[in-house]
Amino acid sequence: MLLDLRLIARALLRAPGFTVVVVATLALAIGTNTAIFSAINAALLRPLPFPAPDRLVAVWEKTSLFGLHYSPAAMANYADWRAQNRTFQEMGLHESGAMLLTGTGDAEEVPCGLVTASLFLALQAKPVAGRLWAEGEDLPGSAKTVVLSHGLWHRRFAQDPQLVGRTVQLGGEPYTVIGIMPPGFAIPGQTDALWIPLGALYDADALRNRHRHNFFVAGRLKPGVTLAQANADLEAIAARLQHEYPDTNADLGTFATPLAEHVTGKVRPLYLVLSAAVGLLLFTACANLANLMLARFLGRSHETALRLALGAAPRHLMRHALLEAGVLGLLGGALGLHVALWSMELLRPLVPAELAMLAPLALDWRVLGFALAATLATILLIGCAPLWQVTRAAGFAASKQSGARTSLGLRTGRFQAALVVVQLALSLTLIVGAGLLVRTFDQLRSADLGFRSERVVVARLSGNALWQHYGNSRAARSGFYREALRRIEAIPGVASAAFTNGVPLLNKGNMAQFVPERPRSSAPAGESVTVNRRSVSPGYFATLGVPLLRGRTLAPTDTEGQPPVVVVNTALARTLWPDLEDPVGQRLRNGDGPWATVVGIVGDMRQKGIDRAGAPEVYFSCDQLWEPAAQLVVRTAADPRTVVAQLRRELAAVNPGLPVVEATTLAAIVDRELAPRRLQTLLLGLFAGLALLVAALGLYGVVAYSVVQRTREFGIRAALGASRGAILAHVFSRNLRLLLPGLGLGLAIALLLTRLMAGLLYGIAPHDPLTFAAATGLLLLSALLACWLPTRRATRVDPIVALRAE
Amino acid sequence: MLTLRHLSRVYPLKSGPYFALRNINLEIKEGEFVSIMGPSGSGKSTLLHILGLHDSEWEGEYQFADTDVHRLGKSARADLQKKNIGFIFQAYHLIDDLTVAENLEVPLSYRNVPRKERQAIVCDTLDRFHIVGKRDLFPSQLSGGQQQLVGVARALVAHPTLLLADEPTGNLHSDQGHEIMELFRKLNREDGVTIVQVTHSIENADYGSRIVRLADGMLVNN
Repeated sequence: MLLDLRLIARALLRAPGFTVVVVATLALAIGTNTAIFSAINAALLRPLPFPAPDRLVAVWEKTSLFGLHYSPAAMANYADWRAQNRTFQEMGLHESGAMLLTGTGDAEEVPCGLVTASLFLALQAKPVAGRLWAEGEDLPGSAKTVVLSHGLWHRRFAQDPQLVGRTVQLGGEPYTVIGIMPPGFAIPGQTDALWIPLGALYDADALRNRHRHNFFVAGRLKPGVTLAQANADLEAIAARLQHEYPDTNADLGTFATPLAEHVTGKVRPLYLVLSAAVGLLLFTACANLANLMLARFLGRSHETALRLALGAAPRHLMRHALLEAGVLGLLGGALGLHVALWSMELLRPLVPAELAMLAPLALDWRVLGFALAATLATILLIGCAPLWQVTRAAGFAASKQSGARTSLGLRTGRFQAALVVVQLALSLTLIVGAGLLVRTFDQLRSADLGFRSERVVVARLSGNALWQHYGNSRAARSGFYREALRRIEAIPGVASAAFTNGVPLLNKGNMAQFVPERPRSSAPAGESVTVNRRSVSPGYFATLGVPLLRGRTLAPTDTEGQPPVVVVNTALARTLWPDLEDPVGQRLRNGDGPWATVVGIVGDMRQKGIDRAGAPEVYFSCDQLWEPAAQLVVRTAADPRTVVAQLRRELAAVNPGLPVVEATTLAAIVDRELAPRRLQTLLLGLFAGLALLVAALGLYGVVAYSVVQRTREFGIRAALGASRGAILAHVFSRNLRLLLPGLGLGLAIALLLTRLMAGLLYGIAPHDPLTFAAATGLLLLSALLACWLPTRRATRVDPIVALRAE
Repeated sequence: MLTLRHLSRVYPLKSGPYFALRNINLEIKEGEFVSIMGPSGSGKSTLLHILGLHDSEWEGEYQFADTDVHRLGKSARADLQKKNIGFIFQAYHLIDDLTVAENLEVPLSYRNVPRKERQAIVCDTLDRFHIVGKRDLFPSQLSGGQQQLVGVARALVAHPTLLLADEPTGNLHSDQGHEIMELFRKLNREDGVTIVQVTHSIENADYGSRIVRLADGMLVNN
């Protein structure tokens, strides 16, 4: 064994080109696989970091409201579930929000979770310092307390050990810090920096609310209780609530899903596609290296024959071949781990923030185990070709039949050809996949968003602070809006400005049910429609460049005390009044609110995502609808960044207690929305490019090897009258024969696998003919180039030299 | 049939030019059977490859029938070769991956002979050389003599007027060598094929009508 290893080391050092190519290819293939696996491990495989995580569930309302199949819970429903269930050990509630943190350093809006004390009990979470809330401390009227995340404690308070028991300023009010959570703690699916009890912001009436479906509920099942039993229990409660509260709960069911599924559901399809991509890349690389190993072994056939003649048993040769593959594989695997570690930085944006807090990318035992398994599998795959050849060579040596050499050569050639076909097929599959994502990205980039994103500043104020300052005075609030806009529009370079409660692609929610005064002919009376409700100042549409299609936009005169008016988008007009050519003048309302008259129709905007067509929207004047319109949009004549400082100063001049917590541009928001798509396109493109390179190199290697092997034959052909063109055509046609099955197999696999990508595509079908044709063309071109270079060499064979060399 | 005047072949080596052939003047008439002899390195094979138009880097004049080869371009020379010359190698040089019949078909395929016609010619040739039974065998399944027989058949399959043979019996034992030489004599006498062979064997040279001797790249006896 040691002798074998010494010989292998010497042989590999003597062929540095071969060694570097094999190790580098393996490092790339194993490294990318390990890196993607680390993301999958973090997101899908690693259990949630809580005791007995398999007993944790999310509880939802089953509903057809808002066009969804399920929704978060209403607070009173949660209270009934918690009180009446028999299958849960504990259940808790969470609502996402944001609080303006002041007092130490710059004012900062931090993501905040409003929680019940029972949520932390359900998760069985424990603070690293201080304590959590006791039962009852989370009710309205209790003392204002806060629990900080470790990250915020570290970043904002320098890990002050004396912080527990002291107060911090949140939304202008003092909150007592009672505890600090350990590093890595997060409510699954959330990115909170601190937690305050529900009772700090909600009164007793809110706890009885069954309309506002805005609360995430998590629970811990009792030991031994199955998900099915819990669901049966929840359904029974839901049925009772339907009976007791027919006005609000008539159509509401209840069900639970594993909490881990709630956290990872969104990323699962992308990870599946990426893992399939790197798997295909690994197989392509293995097929290529198996071919290379085989060629290397064939190049040493004299040595093999000599060893067999000297009495070597086939197992000795097999051991040698396998050891060589093992040494190369282990070197590639070790280097692959470095590639994986380096790639993790690149992959970090692939893990959503709410998931990254719970499950950061890391090189744990699972990832190391995967890398080892991938390395061992690779060793077997690349070692099998020489192993197989050893068996054949041994058989040949035993028989020594004339003619055996020819058939052995033919079969080896076929095996090599099969490996090339596999490489071509797998790389074509990857190219098609990458092509689909490239086309999707292109479609998204050129999609009509319904607004003009260039030269628009988006400045975000704290909605919480806005509420604190102006929650009780409409007149003061209107005064603030008016004065702020007057000052901002006076800044040189500012074209127009407006306030809104929802910037497209940034604030995606705020849905409400609206009923038209005159229902459409096909709809039952009283049928409501789920609508995105927006509160905006008059210049909003002009600032974002949203076209006015009919009527007028909101005016400064649409104030409190005036008849309520709204502007609706085309999607809502088409939904509510499909029979009307001009819905201006129609009326609609939310719940028992006043009827609002439609004064204008505007174009649809993509509010919820670039890949989601405009949903029904209704726009109220921020003077007529009390929703904190805390986002400021400002269109500028030049580079929008030049006005940000002045903008901050003007806002501070109006109210220094309302700082800008974030300033960006609308173009940056659009870009941020595209970022995950860009990354997945880049990654798949990278993997496809690597696979194409590997396949092209594989084809090049096989053709070059066969040209070298057949130099004598080309010499004979030339001596028998073959022109350069005839030899070129002969070699080309022979090698292009590999392409056809490769393309056929690749297209078949792609047709099957691209179905898995349907969820990642936009504007094109998984079997988009243009993508398939372009991918085939690209592979064909690369393959032709890979064939062309060595084939050219075949035409330059001098018959005299070739024949003399024999 | 062919005439060489002041023909030289020089290989530029690092150590200086190497004269493989110097000032060769040679005439070979149609129907002759010429044997080129000389010690190793005397330029026999070089001369044969020049005659066979495999080599074009020479100086001087070469007239084939009425054609001035030295004035021809590459493709015209290739056409002249395909039309008139057959070549036999010492090491047979059959193509390993092709059967006997396929090997015979190769030269025809480069002469644009239609496929059906090619197959007919191959059948005739197999019959003529009594190797019909070997048609589907691969070269490695034949003995040396049989392989050379196929080599001769391949050289003649396109009906050349000039047959060039580079030590055709060099790899064969004496009985097989005699058979090949008898075949050459028959081709020369009965079919009128002009033959030029390179040989070390006086016995084989005696099958021919004339011996040309080379030494150090120069014609020493004609």
